[in-house]
Amino acid sequence: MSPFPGGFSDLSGSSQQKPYTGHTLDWGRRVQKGMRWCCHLTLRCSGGGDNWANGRGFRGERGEKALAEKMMNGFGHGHNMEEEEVEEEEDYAERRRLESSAHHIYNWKNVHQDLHGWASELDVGELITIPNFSLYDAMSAIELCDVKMDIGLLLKDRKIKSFEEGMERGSLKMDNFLAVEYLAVMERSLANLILWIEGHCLAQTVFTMLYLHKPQQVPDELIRTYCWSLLALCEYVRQIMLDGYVVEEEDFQVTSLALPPSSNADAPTAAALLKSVKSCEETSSKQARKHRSSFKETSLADDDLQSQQWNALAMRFRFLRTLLQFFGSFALRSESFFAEAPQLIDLLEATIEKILAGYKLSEEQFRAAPGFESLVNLHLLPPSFPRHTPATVDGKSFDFFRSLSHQLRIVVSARDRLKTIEGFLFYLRTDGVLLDSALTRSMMQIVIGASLVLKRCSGDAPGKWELISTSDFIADSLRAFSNPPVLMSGFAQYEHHGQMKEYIETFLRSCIASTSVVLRNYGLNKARQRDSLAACLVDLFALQDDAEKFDEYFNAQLAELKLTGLNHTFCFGSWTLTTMLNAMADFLFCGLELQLYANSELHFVYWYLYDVLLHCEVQTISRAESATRENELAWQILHEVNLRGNKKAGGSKKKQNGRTKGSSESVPRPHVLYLARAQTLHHFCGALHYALLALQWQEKIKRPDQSLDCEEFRYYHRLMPFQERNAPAFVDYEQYQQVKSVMARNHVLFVGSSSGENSLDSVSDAYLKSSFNFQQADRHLVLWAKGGEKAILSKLCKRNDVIVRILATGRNCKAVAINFDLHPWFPSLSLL
Amino acid sequence: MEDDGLEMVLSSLASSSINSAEDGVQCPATKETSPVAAPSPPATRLPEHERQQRVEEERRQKVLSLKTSLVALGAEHGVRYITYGGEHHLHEIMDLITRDLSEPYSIYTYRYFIYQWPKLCHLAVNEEGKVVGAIVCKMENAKNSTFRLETVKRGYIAMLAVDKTIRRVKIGTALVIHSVESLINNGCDEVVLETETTNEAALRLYENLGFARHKRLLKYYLNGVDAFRLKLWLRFPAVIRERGKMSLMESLQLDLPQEQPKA
Repeated sequence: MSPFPGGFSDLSGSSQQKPYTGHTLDWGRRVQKGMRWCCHLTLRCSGGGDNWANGRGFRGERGEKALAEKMMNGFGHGHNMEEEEVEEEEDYAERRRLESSAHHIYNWKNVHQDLHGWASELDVGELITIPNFSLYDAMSAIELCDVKMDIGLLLKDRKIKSFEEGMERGSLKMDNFLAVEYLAVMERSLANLILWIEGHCLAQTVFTMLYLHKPQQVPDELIRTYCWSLLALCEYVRQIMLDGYVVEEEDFQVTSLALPPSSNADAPTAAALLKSVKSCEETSSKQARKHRSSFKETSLADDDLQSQQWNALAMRFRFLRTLLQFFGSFALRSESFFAEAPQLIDLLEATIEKILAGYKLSEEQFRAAPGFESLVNLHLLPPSFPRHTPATVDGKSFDFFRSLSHQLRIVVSARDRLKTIEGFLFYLRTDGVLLDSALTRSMMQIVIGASLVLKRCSGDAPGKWELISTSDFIADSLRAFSNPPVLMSGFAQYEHHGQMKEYIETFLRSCIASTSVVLRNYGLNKARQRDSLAACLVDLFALQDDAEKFDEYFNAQLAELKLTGLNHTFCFGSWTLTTMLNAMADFLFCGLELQLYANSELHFVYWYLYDVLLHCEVQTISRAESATRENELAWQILHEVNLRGNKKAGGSKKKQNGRTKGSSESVPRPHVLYLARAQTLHHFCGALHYALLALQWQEKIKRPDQSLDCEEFRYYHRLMPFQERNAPAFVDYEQYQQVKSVMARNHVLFVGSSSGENSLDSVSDAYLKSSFNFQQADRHLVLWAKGGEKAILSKLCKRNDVIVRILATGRNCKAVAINFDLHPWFPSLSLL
Repeated sequence: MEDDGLEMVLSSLASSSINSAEDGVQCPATKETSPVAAPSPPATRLPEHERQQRVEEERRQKVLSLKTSLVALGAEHGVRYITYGGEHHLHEIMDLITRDLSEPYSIYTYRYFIYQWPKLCHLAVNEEGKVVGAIVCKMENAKNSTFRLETVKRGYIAMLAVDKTIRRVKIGTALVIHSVESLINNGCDEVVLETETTNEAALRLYENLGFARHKRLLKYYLNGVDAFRLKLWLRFPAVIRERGKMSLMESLQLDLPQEQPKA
């Protein structure tokens, strides 16, 4: 019988070893009360006759000495030997109390000899566990006094232990602040705020500023107001992150670990706070003006400097006030928010620009900010928590806020885009890619959620309206995309035929479910987004199958109703297919963005995008566009026929007809944009597919040196989420190889001759095809892209076009470098 | 390991289908239709199941030949490769690894791996018998990340450390190859490990061996750095293997009536 349940049947070399878990001895006889934490040390190993008290450093005599010292001194995580109930997950409040009381008494007892005796009775690999002291406790206990793992060892480095202690001992500055000190406090705490927003722990960032622990006790008005503002900002941010419901543990730590108890009962209300920030701003401006006028009189450099500093301070208070106003209004979800927000963002941007152009703190001034102690909350964190203190960077804070305000603008204008799902997704894919902060991603999710809820609230029967109003949103989207006859405005009269109404509702319900997942995906960080896309594909595949069945059913019903000319084929299907293809393409694009694909894999990634996914998407959008047009036309003809046959009822129908016609003319077709984007991406991928193929033939792409590589494994595993799909069918590796070999064969056999549309005559032909696709991509780009993205993609097209054309001339170069420096999806090629 | 049992049965059946194929009976392979126009498959194509086995076998041979060459390279420089031999190695392994890794590991971490999977702990020792390189692995059944219902047998490389004073012997690569070989022999489907995105040396080592970046784990390490989860796929995905088995079953059904008269 193997002694290793999870391992191998024999253990080479050491017959003495036994598994170290689950071997319990009669412990009660030997354990004295309060000695629990010692028992991990009874793990004994046979290395050169040493007693291994601890895995690192406590070997033999030295280890035991250290151990005895540890017991006598008792620092560490606070494992108090006299307290029986000290658990790893102990009550932190109690520990805080113990830590903060300056004079707690430990009654230590030296158990060094006892321990040594007990340990000698154990065999190698044996471990004693008792119910109150598990393996987990043993693992924590062994971390005591280890510099890498024991918080306790760092605590003695604290200069100020707490707000009270700092105040009593006078080590915490409380009044007579200079302007430059105010600036340093602000700058450093804002840098900390940013670190927190970027995912670090609140206790290690924002709350390393001691004034925040007891703002009500800070006598200086400016600092006190600033503290309350910062706390209010933190609360807004925390609430947004919670409400957005898209942040993961790596994005943001929502649960603030053991926050210092600041009594929020004293906190001013939002309105009072804004008022006091305003008065701080005025105080600072007054000071600035005072120094300015005295500078005019005296021309002292110090006055000029003071004036600049106070001015900088006033600007920061204005910035703070605007930010508080913005977030306060957002938190209320008031209707006026969307009207007010653009002006607030304008003001925010203008203030940030002034701040960036104004007085700058030196690094020494930044570091000398009063009231900060990076280790002050360390004892509140659980021992397993990451304990490195992130470095705060001076001078970058307002660059972050500049980018933030730009992102806020995108969030605010999102509401107007919530007309159709395609339109909104287009917005998210183009402007929305700039939302790189968890905060703005969460805000976007809130805007989406709240907007749809707002729609619901406008209904008469709250609670029952959500489904209907969201399904209206989906129905509108479907109407705009493929105009299914069953969703046309005049179709209601036929809806009761058969099970049509029920089927329509069923389909819309499943669309809502998948749409909400798709929308939520855009809120996740890229790594999670990729996982989520792979997971949601299964549902999208099922929805696509359903849609095709519904289309078939509705077509049969239309024929039964003798509504000739109306065609339901692919109406639902093309909409779901586009959603699905987009998700599939996004899965691959996310992989590119996360830098997951090796150079040798890029070819099949771009080929799959070009030949399968985007090719299909371009066709689907075109088909949807023509279906929309044809169905509209057919509907009008049907109406005209109706009118002719039913002249009496003509008056009202004429009106309706007129309205339909008018509305179809006034709304420009959105397909142009979607199609242009899909075609741009399609041509981009095509260009890279041809270029990479030719580079592979010429062996100009660096491949792994001594590879155990198997491209077929990679191909299947990389594209695994697509394998359960019939339309577009998953393309096997074998077929991929055939496509390549057809091109290669033509390249070898028919140099200089042309043989069909898809074949390549030579390497240079492949490069020329690549060049053509880059040019096409560039041409389509202007139809949809804007701003920075347009400039970057256009630059990539032009640059790569030049490179592939040089390569097509047969110019000799050793290799070609592939860099994703300009765009995360598409590399720029350069000759080496 | 019901799956493995089934596979063994199928592989024994596979030989009969190969024989029948050689006798001139063509086994049709099931293939889904594709939108990409593909030429008709060549007449002498192997049955899908057998082809998959051959691909996997080729991989195994690659591993073996690479291992042989690396062992020979080591021998030239007086480096031997052994598996974990007992407590006397443990301390040396710990010393070696502690020197390199940023993450703090306690003795429990080492014991967790080495006591449960001692045969997956490979060492490089120099002429004096001193440990100059170590790799610590484990294996477990894990859920497939895409198709949650599938379980895969996953090998995991927990730690790899090499004495930096010994160069040009490719000890790191050799140790990984040794692990991969023992994981293949234990029927693993894949080998997984995590490394910092900034650790270029490690990325180069693994990627040269054919490991792919399977995932990016944001802020994975205590120092806030992202990690790449690297993966070496040792077999076809279960979906594809299943397809191979299906084609085998179908070919067997076609074969059976022809074999009956002979019986």
